[in-house]
Amino acid sequence: LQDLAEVSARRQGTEIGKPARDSWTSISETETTVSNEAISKLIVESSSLVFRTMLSEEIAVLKNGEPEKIHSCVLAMISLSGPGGGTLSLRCSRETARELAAKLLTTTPNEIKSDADVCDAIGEVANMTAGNLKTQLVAAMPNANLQLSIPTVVTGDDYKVQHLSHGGHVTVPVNVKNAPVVFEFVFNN
Amino acid sequence: MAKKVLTVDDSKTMRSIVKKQIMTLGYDALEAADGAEGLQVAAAEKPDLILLDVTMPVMDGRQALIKLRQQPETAKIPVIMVTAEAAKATVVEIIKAGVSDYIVKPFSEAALGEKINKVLKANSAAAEKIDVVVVDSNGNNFSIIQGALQAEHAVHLATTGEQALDKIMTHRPRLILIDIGMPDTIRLQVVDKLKTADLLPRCKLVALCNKNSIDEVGRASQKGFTGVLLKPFQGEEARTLINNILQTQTQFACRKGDIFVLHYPTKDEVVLFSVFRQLLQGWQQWLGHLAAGGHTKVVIDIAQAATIGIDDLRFFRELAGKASELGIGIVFVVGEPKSFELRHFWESGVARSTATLEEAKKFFQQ
Repeated sequence: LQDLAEVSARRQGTEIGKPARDSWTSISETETTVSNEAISKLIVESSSLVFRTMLSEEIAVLKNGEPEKIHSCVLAMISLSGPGGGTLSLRCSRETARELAAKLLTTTPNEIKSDADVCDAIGEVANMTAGNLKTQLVAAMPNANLQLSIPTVVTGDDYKVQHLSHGGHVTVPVNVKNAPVVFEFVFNN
Repeated sequence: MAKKVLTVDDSKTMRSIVKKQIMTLGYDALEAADGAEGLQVAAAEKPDLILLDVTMPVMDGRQALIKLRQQPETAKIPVIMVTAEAAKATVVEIIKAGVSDYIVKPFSEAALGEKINKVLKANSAAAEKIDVVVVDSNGNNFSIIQGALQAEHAVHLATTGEQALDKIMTHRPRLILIDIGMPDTIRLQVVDKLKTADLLPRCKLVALCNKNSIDEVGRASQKGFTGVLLKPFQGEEARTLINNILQTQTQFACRKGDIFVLHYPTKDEVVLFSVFRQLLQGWQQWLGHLAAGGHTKVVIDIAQAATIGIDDLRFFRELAGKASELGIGIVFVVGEPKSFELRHFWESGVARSTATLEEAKKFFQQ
């Protein structure tokens, strides 16, 4: 069984028998951990599935880190409560959010009259991404008892989100239709 | 008059997407923004189908489903649960709650349309009342099955082999449940009668087995049953499993020539998981049965499996090793390995794996 354990550990970016560096809390009885690298990969997989299936769009991961600051943005957050959980957020510019909402609703950006409809659509994209992320996390850590929250969506100009959690975070910037969309996962303490 | 489909979701976006698909399919679309509102609309409009989101404020999908089933006017409306997560525990919970089907977000319009049509069609067929025969000397099992199915199906009891043959000719059933504890000659007579009446292709056989008897489940797996219902069972459990079996073409265990084939349940057959796991958990006895029955060639088809984890793979390797000691060859059909673990299983050669059932058969012919 050693090689299966090695495969599992390699996938998680860890060494056998040692907890992952910068990883989140050990959850299962078998000391399963998920590293930052692994969670980034899962976020990319989950978001790719959502964008491809619901929006017919492919995402491209930005290799050079975060894009320039998004001044006027829409931010959707959803928490995965429970030991080993965290909060997944998605942020993009208002223009990008409107375009994504239009794509989701198979209409044009101009036909979406209400900002509330844009927020609802972006909240749903975050919800589906978090749902898939949870599925993969629970598959990797069968003892994790994670619960999805209802999404919260915030819009505004030039604001900064400060995390009070000391659990660390992972940022996954991607491009959709040549516009940046930033996913972030903040680990619970 | 067009059928009415109600979508209950707190997301206006999702309601809009689902409503559009409902109307494209030619049905009337109704909507509600949470479970409480969904109950009101369901009671007032009596829709033919409800699409119910799991996670919602005010009243979530689980609570709403319980209330729907408690109200006589909405108790029999089929429900498709809509969920953002496909974790095994969540899916099993949804299935057990008594829904007709579930769909995981994100989904394509085509997938949603297929689910809606499938459930509406199944419900129309159920309205015609499918005949089910229970061959069982124990009246308690019959009472539970009849109680669970009587709204959708006509259930008939046969306590002897003679009665069973009579009921088959009278009712031409689509499903026969046979207590595995009854003499095997009855099962053989039933199968013969179905063959001569040309009913075998459309009639499915389900074995009633004791939950704690690996022996009974093992025997059922070798006798060509389409499924297994484990005793003791709750009415809802029986209803879900039986309706699932009526809608699926898969046989969980069958013989193809001299090869014994086990199909790992797909994501649409979650109710078969417990049976499959029970069978495999008692694998030592199961292998003993196979060896005693002269089976030396076994194929375990995991290509369409809903979930395969590291524990499963560890177990498969152990199973293959033990089988080899008993002179039984096991080949795993893994299809195009989708997960990392499955790819590793395929590449490592720890157990014989092929891409298709045909390749597995060829392997045994060599």
